[in-house]
Amino acid sequence: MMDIRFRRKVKNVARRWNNMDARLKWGILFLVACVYPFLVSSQYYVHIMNLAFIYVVLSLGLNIVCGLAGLLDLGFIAFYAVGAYTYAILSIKLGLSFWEILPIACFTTALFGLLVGSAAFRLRGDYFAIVTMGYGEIIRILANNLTFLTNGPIGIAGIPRPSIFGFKFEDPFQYYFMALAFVAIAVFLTYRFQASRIGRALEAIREDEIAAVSMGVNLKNFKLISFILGAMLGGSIGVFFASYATFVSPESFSFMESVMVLAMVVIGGMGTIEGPVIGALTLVFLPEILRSVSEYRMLIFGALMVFMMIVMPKGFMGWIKPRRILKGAEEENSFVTRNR
Amino acid sequence: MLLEIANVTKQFGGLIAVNDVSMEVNEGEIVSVIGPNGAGKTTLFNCVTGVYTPEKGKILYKKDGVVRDIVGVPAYKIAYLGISRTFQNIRLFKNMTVLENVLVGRHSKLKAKVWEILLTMPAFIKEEKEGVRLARNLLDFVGLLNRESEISVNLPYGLQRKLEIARALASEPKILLLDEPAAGMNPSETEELIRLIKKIRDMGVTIILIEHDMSLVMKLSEKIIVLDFGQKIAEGSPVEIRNNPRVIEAYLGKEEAEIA
Repeated sequence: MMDIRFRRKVKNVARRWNNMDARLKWGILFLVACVYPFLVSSQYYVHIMNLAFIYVVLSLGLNIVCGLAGLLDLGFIAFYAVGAYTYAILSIKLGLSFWEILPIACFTTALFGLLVGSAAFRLRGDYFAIVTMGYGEIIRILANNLTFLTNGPIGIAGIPRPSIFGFKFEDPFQYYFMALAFVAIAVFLTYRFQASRIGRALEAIREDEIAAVSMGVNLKNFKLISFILGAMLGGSIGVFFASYATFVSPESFSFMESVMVLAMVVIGGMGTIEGPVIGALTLVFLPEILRSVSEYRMLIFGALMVFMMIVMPKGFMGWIKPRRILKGAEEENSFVTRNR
Repeated sequence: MLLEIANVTKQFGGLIAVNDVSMEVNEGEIVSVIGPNGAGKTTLFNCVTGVYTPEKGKILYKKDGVVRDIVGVPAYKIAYLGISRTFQNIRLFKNMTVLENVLVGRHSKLKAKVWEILLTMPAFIKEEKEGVRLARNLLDFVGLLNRESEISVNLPYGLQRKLEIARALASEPKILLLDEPAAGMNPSETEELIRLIKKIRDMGVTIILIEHDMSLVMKLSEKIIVLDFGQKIAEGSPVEIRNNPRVIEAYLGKEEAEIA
């Protein structure tokens, strides 16, 4: 399909990358991210990076649910919406500060995740996915119709910007480092969880529920944990988004957004940590890079996605290092390993 | 007495998969459950491990000197009680590494709380290190040490069986239920398995196994229970079972039994 030599070269680089110590690896990336805003010519690119960082955190959150626990969640953006609206409403109506609302929003989204999860986990597989799609829509429709609280389709404008020790976050450049901090925390948390009994239990659930149960994994509790963790990541970055955009409206939280985040996770490679990061950066930057060919932008974008799914059905990281897959794909996997 | 199955009946609609079966297992024993296909052996295992809840009967299990009925205990809690199992059709966590598989097996022994993991508390780190050390010991024990970072699905079949045993042992069980451990193995692999099972017993683990390979059953078991159509038709030592006319009948059919 692809030039073999090129593929080998990429894989070699990737292997070396994989074998590197995780702390060193992420340290390098962090440093690169730190100097990025000083290297680019305009605030615009910093702004795009901020958006990309929002999506990185979102896809890391979804990755816990989809990639680790293997649950197809099509309504993930709802948690993001709950976080964003929590900040918008509490900061305007009650005048609370960003740092006060952040933990509150984490709590409300976790509660929401618990509520939705305990209902949805009565179902499995495709039926579960449909329910998650449903609650994603419910949140958007609620935001549209609870006019007294959310201002309906007009949205909430003039959301106060955060400040710390008298320093006020104003332009994208100032927000950049806060976004980076969110990303760093999300990466760290995912790392911690993946290499703990919780992460392993989630992966065990993805691989084989019956075997997981007989190892002592309480399915319902651990599925809920994955949901709550994902929700908290989504909710906290929702708070950041609301403060960054200073405006929230229901249309930011459409079903397409959920699909977009899912696409990022899938394209990057489910169940890995680098995967969602790569996926989110690619899917945010690609349309920007393709801006020069304006009309054909989405066409090329779509074609690239199709191409990626043909060449790397398990995402970029799965292509370099075949490993994590979603539940129900075992057949395909054994085929791959047999023919490797 | 460590485990006592008393008059257990499990029905699936009109089919009585396990019918009024009783058996007793003492500490340190190797007990085999044999019988033709569809005799209800695996169903019996599933009743003990909480996958199924039997309609009738009791399953008494002695832990720390206290005897309790484990019927109706949810499947995930069974591991915490010290009963561990392997599966007839290997059920490894395919896309996880060999070491990770064993670590999941240790799940019931790990206690780190969410915040301890989040904050990388020393207790969590210590527990993880201890877990990895024990997991490596187990892999060494079953002969898989140099393959710990391989993806488990890439292991050859015989080693996958061994990995399943290592995973089951990771929870430091009192009772190990092995469901056809020798299925698909060649004679030399079976010999190796026999040695392994003996070693596990010598560690103080009581073993109940389902097996079709009679050479293994006869070499290992102290007691054999024979099931046929869900009913227990015989119980006794390997010699007794070998000469039991009802067992021969169940396996070979009536006419041939008469000829013999």
